[in-house]
Amino acid sequence: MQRRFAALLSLAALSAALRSAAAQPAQPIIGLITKTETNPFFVKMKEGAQAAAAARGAKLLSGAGKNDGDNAGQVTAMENMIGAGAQVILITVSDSKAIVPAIRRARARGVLVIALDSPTDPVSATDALFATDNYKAGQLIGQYARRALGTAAAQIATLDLLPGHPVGAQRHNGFLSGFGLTAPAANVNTLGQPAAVVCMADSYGDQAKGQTAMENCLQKNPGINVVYTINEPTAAGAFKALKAAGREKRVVLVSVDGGCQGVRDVGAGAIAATAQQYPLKMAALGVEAGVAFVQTGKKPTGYTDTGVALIAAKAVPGVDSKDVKTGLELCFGRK
Amino acid sequence: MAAWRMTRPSFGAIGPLLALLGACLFFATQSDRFFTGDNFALVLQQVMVVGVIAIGQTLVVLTAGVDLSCGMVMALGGIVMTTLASASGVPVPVAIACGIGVTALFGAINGWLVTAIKLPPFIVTLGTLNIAFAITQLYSDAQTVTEIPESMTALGRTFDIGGTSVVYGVVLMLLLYGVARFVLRETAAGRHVYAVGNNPEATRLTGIPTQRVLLGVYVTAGVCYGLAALLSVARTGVGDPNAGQTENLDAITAVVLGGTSLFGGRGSVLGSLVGALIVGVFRNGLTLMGVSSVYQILITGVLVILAVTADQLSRRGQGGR
Amino acid sequence: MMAEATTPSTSGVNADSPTLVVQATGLVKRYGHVTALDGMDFELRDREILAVIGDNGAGKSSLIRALSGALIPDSGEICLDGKRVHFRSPIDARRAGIETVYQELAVAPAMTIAENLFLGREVRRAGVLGSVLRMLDKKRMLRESAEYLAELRIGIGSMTQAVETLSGGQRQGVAVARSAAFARHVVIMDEPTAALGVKEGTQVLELIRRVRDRGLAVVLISHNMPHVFEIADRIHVARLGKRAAVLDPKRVSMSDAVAVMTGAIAAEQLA
Repeated sequence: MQRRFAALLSLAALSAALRSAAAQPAQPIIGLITKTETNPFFVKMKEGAQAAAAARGAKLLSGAGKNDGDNAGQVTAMENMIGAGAQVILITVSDSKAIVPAIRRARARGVLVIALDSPTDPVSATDALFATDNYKAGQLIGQYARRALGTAAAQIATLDLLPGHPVGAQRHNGFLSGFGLTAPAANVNTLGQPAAVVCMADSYGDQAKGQTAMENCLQKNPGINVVYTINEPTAAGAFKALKAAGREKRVVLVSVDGGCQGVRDVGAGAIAATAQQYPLKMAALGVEAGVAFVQTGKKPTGYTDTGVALIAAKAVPGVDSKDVKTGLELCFGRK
Repeated sequence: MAAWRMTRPSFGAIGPLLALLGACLFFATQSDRFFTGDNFALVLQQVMVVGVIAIGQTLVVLTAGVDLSCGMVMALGGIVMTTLASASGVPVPVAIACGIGVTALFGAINGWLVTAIKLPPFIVTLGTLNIAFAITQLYSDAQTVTEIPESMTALGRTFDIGGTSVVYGVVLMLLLYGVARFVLRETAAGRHVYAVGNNPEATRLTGIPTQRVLLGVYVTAGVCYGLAALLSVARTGVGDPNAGQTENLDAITAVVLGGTSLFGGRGSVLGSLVGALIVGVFRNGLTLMGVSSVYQILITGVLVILAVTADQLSRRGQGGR
Repeated sequence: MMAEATTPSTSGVNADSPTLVVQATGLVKRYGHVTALDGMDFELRDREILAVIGDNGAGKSSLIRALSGALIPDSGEICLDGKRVHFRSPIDARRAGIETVYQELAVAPAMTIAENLFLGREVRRAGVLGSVLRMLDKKRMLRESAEYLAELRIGIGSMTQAVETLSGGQRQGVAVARSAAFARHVVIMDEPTAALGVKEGTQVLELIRRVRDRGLAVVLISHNMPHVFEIADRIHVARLGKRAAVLDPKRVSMSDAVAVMTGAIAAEQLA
């Protein structure tokens, strides 16, 4: 502990001395910690961070937890990076509450900590947040679904992540709000269930479980005509179940993420529309802010919306959307 | 062979069946869509992957071992067979054989470490679980394999029985259970599996090659995971590198709920089918009732405790332990 | 055919040369500095019950293990029916017709009596069912198990009972029946009446007699002197890795036998 603190002190002193001597500024060292190494979303984020760092002459350290929810792995990565001299930490937190003490410790040492993609709980625990507005993402697909459905009475199924997850709640409630139903506000963690939602099931973001959940929902309500899914693998599973039941043409299926596979599914007609988010932009903005902090001491604050766009094969009136071609250019994952 | 069975059937054998019937009756009262042929065919389809994994797991548990790598090895098999068939243009039967070959190889590795290096199965399979997962992610680049030839998903197609659509894969699962039951009850090899689990030293002294029996069990389990991978691909239509993660514990849960003892030597493979059905019925029934999935997890946990307790009590009642 | 030099045999042993089923000479086994067998000799006659007694470390366990194939001696030879044999494992000994009833009762408790009897020696059905499908002939194994137990007059009704539901004496009976059923020459028993009550112990002794009457030679290790004297035809005393004496229980008292065993008196001193 003390050695790391001493290292940091000497590094800060060195960089201050160098700056005051008007010599070349020290290379900024930025650490990027993602939830996992393998999810294409985070792979894209890392690419974006590496490109931005190279462009600005910064050094990028990267690390991750072992799996979604591995808080200890992220804490270890953070400590190691700070020990290696990182002045900025960009992190997509696995556990929004459990990571907070480690972040506080880092900030106490003068390290800038920016949350990417998911907020901490409380949000103010980090210096800044660059993320998708998940509530807005939900609203976009909710609006689309409402228009695409037309005049029919809605019988909605929601295939959610798992109980209590903030991102899952925001997308779900945003969808309800965009669809025109009474919905909880953006900061509420519980899932709203107005009367039009006839089935709510958990998919844990997994394709096979999404399929099972959709099958069971169809058993309960064969007349389901709108399906909201938490992410695109879940949507793929739901589509399989809808197709097996012969309902795929009579259901509006919407999702969130904008991964390349998901955008291809939109092009193929399996998903009606998806809200695309931009991990690359999150990372690039994070690196920019980090470099600015190291060079000028200016800290970013608050929440910066990294943008979300609706991708749909068929546009509907009153809702802005981009086409599949654009979606494929901007997507993450294997193109 | 009624004369061959124990004079008093243990509660451990009947208990799971009673639990399944009780659950079915309960859900039938809660939703009028539960007790339909279509719904039952659906539940069978939903449990067929875990069901086949559970066959392999039952064999391992009968020898007083456990295989924590089952789900991950299945996922690896699925990725291998789908990647070969789609990207590399390998003929489908060959690709499937390769996938099953890889899972059998992992079974052999597990078996070798347990028998030759004499490591505890829990530790061995904990290690191969991680290795299989990592290899799957690396080989697939963490991407789902989607362009699969039609014939590979043939087992996912359905046929008609009296108005109900039944998936071919379910038939395969039931066939495999039939074969497993036959081998375990009617052949010497099957009795040797029970004997090795019940008293390995005594079995060795009778001249039975216990190491070969154990190795055979693990390799057979590996083959089961490969077959489960084929069923998983047939059901979802993709090769998913993240498949199998909850199937790991689900398979062990099915085995325990089915009355097979984790101490080895006691149990029945058909019990694992009942165990898998119990979990599937609860998930299906609770969704039909509109209850949150968290309760399904809670109930599964309670059932596991009840199942193990019932088995322990019934054995104490029979005398001996 | 007694080895005169090393075994001062006491009076009462049958003078004319009876058939020797097993003869071992000069068995030696050392583990580092510890000598388990130091030139042990051994003879077992056809249709006799030979008890092996000795203090701890006298070599009786090592002798038994050498005969049953669980121990390979460093030197010395073992002859079975006059022919030299080399056992590299218990399975070799079994194949040669020597069966062993182990102290821990090598049975699988959860399996039935019939399954345990035929463990490792299962019988398959005739024809295609047996050769291709490898199906077991359960009816036949049930019937034969019942016959084996009836022959030894072990009173257990159902062959489909799990062994763990039996009493200690009954379990012992099953283990003995298994060995007797498949042995061709010798049945070795390690402490057969230990951990049994009085009544059950007596039943097992009866059982051992019937095994002998079936035509097998029996070797048993026991610490239970009354049992030894009740049942043995001859007593082999092991001491310090050698054969100290072969005694006739009808001529020698229990205390004398114990004295020879502990080395308090030499065998020659007995009348």
